[in-house]
Amino acid sequence: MSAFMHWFANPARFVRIADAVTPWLWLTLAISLCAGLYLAFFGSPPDYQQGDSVRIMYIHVPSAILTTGIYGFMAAASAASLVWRYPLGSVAAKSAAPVGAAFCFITLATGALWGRPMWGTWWEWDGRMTSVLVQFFLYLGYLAIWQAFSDQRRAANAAGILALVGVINLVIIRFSVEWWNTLHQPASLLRRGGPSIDVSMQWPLATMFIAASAYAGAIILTNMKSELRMRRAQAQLQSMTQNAGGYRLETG
Amino acid sequence: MLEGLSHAPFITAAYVIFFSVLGGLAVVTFRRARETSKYLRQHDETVHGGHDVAQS
Repeated sequence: MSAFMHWFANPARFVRIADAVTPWLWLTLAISLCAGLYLAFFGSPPDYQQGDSVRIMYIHVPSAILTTGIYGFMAAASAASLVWRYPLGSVAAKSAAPVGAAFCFITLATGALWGRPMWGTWWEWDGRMTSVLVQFFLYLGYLAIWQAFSDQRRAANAAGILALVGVINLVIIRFSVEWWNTLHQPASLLRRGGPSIDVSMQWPLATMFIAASAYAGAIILTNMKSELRMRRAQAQLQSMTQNAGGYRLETG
Repeated sequence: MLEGLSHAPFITAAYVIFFSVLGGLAVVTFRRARETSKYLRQHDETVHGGHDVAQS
């Protein structure tokens, strides 16, 4: 594992792999999105209680799973950066943050749009909704830290610590529907005993999840490539400036 | 198509938000990637005479 991480840590090698993988992710996205939308609107029945509003689930649930998954990925990448000084760790975490924040916003917005016709309210301060809102603020805070520091290493350390501390919120999100008996329903997909929703609804859900994951992967890899190229150029410029400064000092 | 569905305005709004946010993020990402490539090209031409720093 360690050997693989060291092999993968080479930025030039990473860029080559990312260049090869990204087109396949876009292709996967195109195919699964077309299939997922077809299944969501034509290949699945309305719910016997919720009617057609259940179709919001096909974008709400994949977004919700991805926003927590991406945060977990950011925390793992930050730990790799802080503990083992893995060079791609902070790049990966920083590149994933906007994607996670976007999916978190979608989760909150589609949840409100689903809740209004089903629960009669856009919002309720229950455990699940509040903890996802906290997750959104964690994403914004993480992004703000990167903007606040001019020194990239200090920004990476501060943002990485926030990402690690925020992991506790993932646990709260996961168990909020079990700890507090409030408005949001208990887990119906990722639970012991398998999913409780009908198979006809699992297919569009799985297909839309693949589409959303492919999108997230493609955007994160594109962000990482841009970030790596920019850091490399900035490091070279900094090195040249220092050399020029040293020359002036020696001759001055 | 959506007019025939119950709760159509809510479903429409949810999908519009989904595609707007993800589409917007994709546009921002590609714009940044393009600007980075442009910046690096200029950087390479000035500093390295065209050598690609990203691959070095």
